[in-house]
Amino acid sequence: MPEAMILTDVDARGIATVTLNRPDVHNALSGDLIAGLRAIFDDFAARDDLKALILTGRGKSFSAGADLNWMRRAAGFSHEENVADAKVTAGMFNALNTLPMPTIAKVQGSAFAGGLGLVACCDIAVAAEDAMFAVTEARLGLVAAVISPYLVAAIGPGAARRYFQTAECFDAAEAKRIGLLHEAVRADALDGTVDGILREMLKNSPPALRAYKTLIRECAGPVSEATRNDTADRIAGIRATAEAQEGIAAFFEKRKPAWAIQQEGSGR
Amino acid sequence: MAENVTMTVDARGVATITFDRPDRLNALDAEQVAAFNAAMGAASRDSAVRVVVLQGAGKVFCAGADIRYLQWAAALPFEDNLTDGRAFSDMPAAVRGAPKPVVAKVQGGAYGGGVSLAAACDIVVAADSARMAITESRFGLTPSIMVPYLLGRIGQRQCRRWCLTAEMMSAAEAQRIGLVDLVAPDGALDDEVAAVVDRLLMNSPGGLAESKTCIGEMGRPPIDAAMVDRALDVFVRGRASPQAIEGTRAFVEKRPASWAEEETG
Amino acid sequence: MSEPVVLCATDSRGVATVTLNRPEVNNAYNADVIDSLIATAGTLAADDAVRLVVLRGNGRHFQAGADLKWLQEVSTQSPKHNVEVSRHTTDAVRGLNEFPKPTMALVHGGCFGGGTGIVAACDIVIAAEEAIFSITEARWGVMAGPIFPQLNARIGEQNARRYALTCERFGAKRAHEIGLVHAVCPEGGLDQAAAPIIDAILQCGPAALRENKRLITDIAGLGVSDPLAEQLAQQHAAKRQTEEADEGLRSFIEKRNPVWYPGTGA
Repeated sequence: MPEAMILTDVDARGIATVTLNRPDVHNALSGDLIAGLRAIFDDFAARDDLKALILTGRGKSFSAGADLNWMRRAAGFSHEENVADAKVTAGMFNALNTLPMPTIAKVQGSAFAGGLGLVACCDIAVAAEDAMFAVTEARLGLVAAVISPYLVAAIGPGAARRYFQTAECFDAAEAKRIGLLHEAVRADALDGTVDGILREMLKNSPPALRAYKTLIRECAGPVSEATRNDTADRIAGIRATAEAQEGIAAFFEKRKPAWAIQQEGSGR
Repeated sequence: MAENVTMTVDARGVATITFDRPDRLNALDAEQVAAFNAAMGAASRDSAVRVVVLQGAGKVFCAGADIRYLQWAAALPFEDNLTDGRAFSDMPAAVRGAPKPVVAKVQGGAYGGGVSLAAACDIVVAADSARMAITESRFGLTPSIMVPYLLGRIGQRQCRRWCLTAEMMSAAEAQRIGLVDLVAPDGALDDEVAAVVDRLLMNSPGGLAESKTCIGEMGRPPIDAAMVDRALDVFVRGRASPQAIEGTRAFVEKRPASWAEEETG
Repeated sequence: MSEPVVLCATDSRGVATVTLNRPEVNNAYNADVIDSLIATAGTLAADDAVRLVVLRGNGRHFQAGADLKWLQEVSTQSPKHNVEVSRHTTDAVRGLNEFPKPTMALVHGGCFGGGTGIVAACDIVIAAEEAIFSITEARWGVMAGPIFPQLNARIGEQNARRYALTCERFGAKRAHEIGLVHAVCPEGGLDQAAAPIIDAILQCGPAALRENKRLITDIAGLGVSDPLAEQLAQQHAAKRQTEEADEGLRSFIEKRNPVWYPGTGA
C-alpha cells in the first residue's frame, strides 16, 4: 500500500502535527494533497481538545508549491473546471488561515509559490536558516492569486511588489526581515525553537487564545468569500492564456520561455 | 485630578503626563483610568500644548491592568462591566485622537494594557533594558482592546505571534517588529526623549495636527467605532469568563492556572 | 534651449530609464517636472516594447522634494490655481503607483519630501548606502498628504507617524529596516545591484507581471480612490496658503528657525 501523502499525529498535550509526505516531489501540492489537507483542517477545526497545530514537511523541501504535472492537466480544463479547481485550493488555504487554535509552520526546507501560502496562513512560522523562498508564479507566466491575501498580509505590500514581480529566491534571513518568518534558526535547533514557543503558548488560556485569533483576523480584515472567489477567477483566467501555456511548456522542456531574453552570462 | 496621574506643562508647550503609582508598578485601575483620560483630554484641548510625553514613575512604564481591579470588574453586572470597560478602551483612543504628537517614554517594562497605551502613541522611545509582553492570555484574558492599535503598529503577522504566545520581548526585538521606534541606552533615555521633543517643536503645529489625522485615516486597517466596540465586547466578556476568574485567582494565589498545569500533567 | 527636465531612454531589452534632470536644484520638482513625468508615464505605459521602468536622478541627489521657490510663487496665486497644482501633484504620484509595469527607483544622495513619495510609489527601490531620506513637509509648514497613501503602505503607519512628524533625516540602512527601500548597495554600485533584479523581471511573463501587479494593488488596497485623491489635493492646496506655510518656507530658505520653535523671538 502506498504511504499516505499526509501524516497526522496528536500528542497527549493536544498538539496536532500535520506532515506533508511527498518528499520525492518536494511536497508539491497536487489536487489530492490539497483535498486531503482541507479534510484534515475541517476535521481539526471542530475539535475543542486541540491546543495547537504544527504544519511541517518531510524531506528536503517544505513544499515546492503547485504540482506542475497537475497544473499541466489543469491547462486542458474548461474555464468552469479551472475556476472550480482554483476554488478548492482557495478553500484549503482559508481553512488553514481560520483554524481556531494557534498554528505553527515548522519550515524544515524550502518553500515556493503555494508552499509560501501555507507558511503565510500559519500564525507563527519558524524555518531552518538554509531554507529558500520564492514567489515563482510570474516566471511560469502565472499569478500568485489564491495565496495573495495571506502572503501580502504576512510580508506587506512593499515586499510583495518586489517578490511577486521578480520571482527572485530569497533566504530565511530575508524572509524573517520582511515578516514571513518569525524565527530563522539552525536546522538542528528547529525542533527546540518550536517546542520553546509551544511551551510559552501552553501557559496561556486556550479559550482566550481562540478568542484572540478571531478578533485579530476580524480587525485586520478577514479574507472574504468574494476575495477568495476573485483570486480563483484570476488564476483560472491566466492558466488558459498563451503566455502561461508557454511558461509551463518551457519548464517541462527545460528551456527558457519566449519572453525571457537571453543575456550575456545569464543563460543556463 | 487624582494624584496617581499627574500632568505638568512647560513654557515650550510640552505636557508631561506621569503614571505615579510606582509601588503598584503603575498598574491601571478604575481611578487611574479616569485620571488618565481626564489628563489626556485636557492636554488635547489646550492649544498651548504642542507635544505630550507619557511616562511612568519608578521602575517600569506601566504593568497593565491591576489584577485586583480585573477581579473587581469581573464581578460587576454586565452593563457596569461594559461602562467601566469603555473607559479603559478610551485610553488608547484619547492618545490616538489627540491633535498633537504623543511620545511614550518606556523604562523597565510595559505589559498588557501598558503595551496598548504605548502602541497608540505616535513615537515610542524605550530604554535598552526595557522588556515588553502582551501578557493577558496568561490570566485567561483576551487583550482585545489593544488589537486595533497593535495592528497599526506591528501588523497582523507579528500580532499573531506575540499575542498568542505572551512571550517576553527585549527592547531590541520590540524595535525590530515596530512596537518601539527608538531604543536608547538606559542612562540616556531622558536625553533621547528630549531630542525627539525638540525635533517635533521645530515643525509647524498645524502641519503636525493635519499629518497625524491624515496618517490615521489611512491606517491599515483604519480604526473605526465598530472595530473598537467589537474589541471592547470581547474584552468585557473575556474578563468575566471562567478562565479569567481562574487565571487572576491563580496569579493572586501564586500558583499555575489550571490549563498551565496540564502541560506537565 | 534648455535641456528637458525629465529624460527618457529605452534599451533593446525593453528597459526604460527615466532620469530626473534638474541637477542645478537637486532635481526639485516644479510644474514642468510634474507634467513631464505624467506625460512620460503615459507614453511608456502604452509602449508594448517597454517591459519595466527604472527611475533615477541626475547629479548629486535623487530628488530634493518640491522646488520651494516655486511653491512660494504658487502659494501667492488663487486658491483655484493652488488646487489645480495639488491635483497634478497627486495624480503624478498616483500614476506612478499604479503604473502597469514593474518600476524601480535607484536612489543616491538626498531624497526628501515628495521624493520619498516617488520612491514609495515604485515597486522596487535600491539605495546607495550614503543616501539620506526625510519626510520634510511639516518643517516647511506644508502637508505631505498626496504621498501619505504610498508612504503608509510602504513603511507602515507607525513609521509614517514617526518620520512625518519629526521630519528627521534617516539613512539608507534605516530606510531598509522600515521597508522604504528593498536593498542597499555601496556608493556607485546602483547599476550593479539593479542588474540581477532587472534580469529576474525579464525572466517573468510580461502579461503575468501585469496581472500580478494589479492583484497586489487590489489585495493590499494600494489604489487611491478619486474622492481620497481629491481630499488630499484640497488639503494640500489649502495648507500651502496658510501663514504657517509662508513662515515655514521662508524660514527654511532663509536658513533660520521658524517662529514656532521655542526661543525664536517672534
